[in-house]
Amino acid sequence: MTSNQTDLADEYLHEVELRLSGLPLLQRRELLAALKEHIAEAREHASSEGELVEVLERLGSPEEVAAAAYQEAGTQADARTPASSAQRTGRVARHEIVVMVVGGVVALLVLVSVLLLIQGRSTGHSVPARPAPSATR
Amino acid sequence: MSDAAQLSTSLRRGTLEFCVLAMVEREDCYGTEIVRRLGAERSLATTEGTIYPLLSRLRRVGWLNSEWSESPSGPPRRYYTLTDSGRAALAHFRTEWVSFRQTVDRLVGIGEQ
Repeated sequence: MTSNQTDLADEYLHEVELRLSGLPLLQRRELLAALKEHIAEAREHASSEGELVEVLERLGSPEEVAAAAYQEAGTQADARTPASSAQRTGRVARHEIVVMVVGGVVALLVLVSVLLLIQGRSTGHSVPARPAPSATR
Repeated sequence: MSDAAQLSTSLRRGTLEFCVLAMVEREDCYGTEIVRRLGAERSLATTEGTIYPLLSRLRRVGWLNSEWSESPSGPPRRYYTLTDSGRAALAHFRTEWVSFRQTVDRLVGIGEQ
């Protein structure tokens, strides 16, 4: 193994690593270790630089490998995949539901207090929190 | 991506993982072995490096187990075994696949009419 070959393999792994920053740490480490193992093993049979290039070509470009990693991770990091934009839509929808629920509760509270106030006035300042029997007759 | 590449990507999605499970069902395999064998299947048109993330997912969902084995030469290697839930998933796929395939064959006009 020449240092040239080491450089080429290291460069390849580095190029992959650069593209994996959005993955969870352990998944990133696992993939890089697997690729390293793959290259190390292939090298036992590949002695020339040309053969190493073929090994790397069969592995696929760093872009391809990284894209597969994001896809299998079902990840939030790669905004281009349809899965992650669906997740984003889901989050937005949940956010809107929360706003609607909180708004509804606030509106209900306002309505109740206005009603109690009106009732309090019409029953001549009796206990405002209880529906006065006189008001319903 | 060309139409041909797009088609094989779509066909691969959802089926390749069961090819992996079936391979491990026959015998426990090293990761590099699985990758090389699938990579050699020309009609699957899979680049080897994209199979490692798949193996990782199959392990995370509990369909495959992985263990390390010492290698006489070089670093320890990861090898894979099929779990009970992986076996069940594969059995389920086999039934689904048969009826799916028959339906598609019939609809595209290459099976029994």
